[in-house]
Amino acid sequence: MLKCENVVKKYMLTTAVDDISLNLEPGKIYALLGPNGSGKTTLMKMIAGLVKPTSGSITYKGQDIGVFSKSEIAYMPTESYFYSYMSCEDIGKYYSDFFSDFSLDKYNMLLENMELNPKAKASKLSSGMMAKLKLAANLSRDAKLTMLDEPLNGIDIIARDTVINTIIDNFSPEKTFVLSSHLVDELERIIDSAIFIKNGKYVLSGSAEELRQEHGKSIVDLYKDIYGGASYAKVN
Amino acid sequence: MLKLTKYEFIKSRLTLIISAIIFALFEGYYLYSIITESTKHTAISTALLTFFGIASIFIVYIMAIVTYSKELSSKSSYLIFMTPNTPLNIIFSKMLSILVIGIGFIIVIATIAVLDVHLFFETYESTQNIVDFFKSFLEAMEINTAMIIPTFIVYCIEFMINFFSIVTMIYFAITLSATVLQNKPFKGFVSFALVIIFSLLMAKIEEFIPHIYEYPTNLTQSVISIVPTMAFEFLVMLACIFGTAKLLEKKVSL
Repeated sequence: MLKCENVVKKYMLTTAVDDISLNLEPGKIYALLGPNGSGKTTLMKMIAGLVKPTSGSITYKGQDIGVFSKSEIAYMPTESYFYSYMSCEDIGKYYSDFFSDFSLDKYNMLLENMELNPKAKASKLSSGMMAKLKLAANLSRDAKLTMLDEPLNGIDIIARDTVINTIIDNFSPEKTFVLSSHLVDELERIIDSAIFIKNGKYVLSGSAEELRQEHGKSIVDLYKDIYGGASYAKVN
Repeated sequence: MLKLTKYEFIKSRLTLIISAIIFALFEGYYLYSIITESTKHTAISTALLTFFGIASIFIVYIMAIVTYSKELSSKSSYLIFMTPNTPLNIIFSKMLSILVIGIGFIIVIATIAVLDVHLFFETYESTQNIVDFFKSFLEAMEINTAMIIPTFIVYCIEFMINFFSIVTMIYFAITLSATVLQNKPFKGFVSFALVIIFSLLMAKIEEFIPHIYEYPTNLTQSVISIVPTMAFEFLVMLACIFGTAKLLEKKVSL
């Protein structure tokens, strides 16, 4: 469904993404794992069409990233990206205006479940409430590919379960989810596959179950090993 | 594109509301001066309204440039660039909103100006001879009064093409700064320098554009004589629009 081939993104002297190739399939929840500055966000932004690769290609259903892919891919950035004048209600109207797969009813229901006041200004929300708002807006789309960048950032330990359950509730076999997070233990129980990247480079990927069996470790332990210094041969 | 335009208006509404309040205050002052027949206050309020009329052109210019520049430098740009819209649609929506706002300013200011002038001559009847003088002047210059409105419209169109050729040139420079020059030092300075160079280049080329009438003797000839310059500015505008769209499509990094 989504293919990245030898994707590279350079910024001045830094290479944020270095020769990454991926193939995302429908019906799976992927964890995109790596510490800060490993290139997760840049990769997601390239798939969302917000950043253009320096070289390599990204195609969605055989087409270059563009109007069609944007109509089917939802991307939730880590930052607050709403206009300062917008209330939660305005954000629903905005998404409804631009995305044909957006459900205003579902959005209002998610706002209610997450205890967000529709009249509240997005710019006045706490980081936790903002994270919930971004999640509500993006999960109210019936997108074929949903990418959530650090969905648990700013969410307290009590509300994390609500967020994770909301993500699971909105997943279906014809969809693909990509979740990036430092909080690997929180994701371990819901992911089908994991992709490890380090310093912009691909390190390891595969189905979560196969990785556990092959290495005899949980994804959390693999994460600790990889970013603690161990090196792994590429596993596809 | 119309939906994008709708949000451009929403984003500009604060500036528009503030502008409307200032204009209403000046106009209120003018009406007060007319009611009280105070020549001193009429003079001050007329000066303020004239100043506002000139400033409104700059307000629209600044709105056009600032909204686009902010779009490429803030995270809220994700909201636009994540939507299934082509870069061309995004640029056209910004131009359309500015065009509508500009025309709105012209219509409101021109209508109220006509009414204000009418009120002025009714209040200060002794100044009626200025109108007579103006009519005699037009007759002496062999200017057909029926031609004034069409000429005014042509000059408005010329002004808009010139306005948008400059705005789109600035869009192009801002986009260059945010795309190709993104990782270069002094990108802001470079894009500013580019605008200056492009403007000077454009002015230089315009000097070489042949004049249909070297010395126009009437309004019709004056109007016809600006057509080649209008055509050139229109081409510059198109080149900047498509150049900006191409840069956004191929090089954008938000």
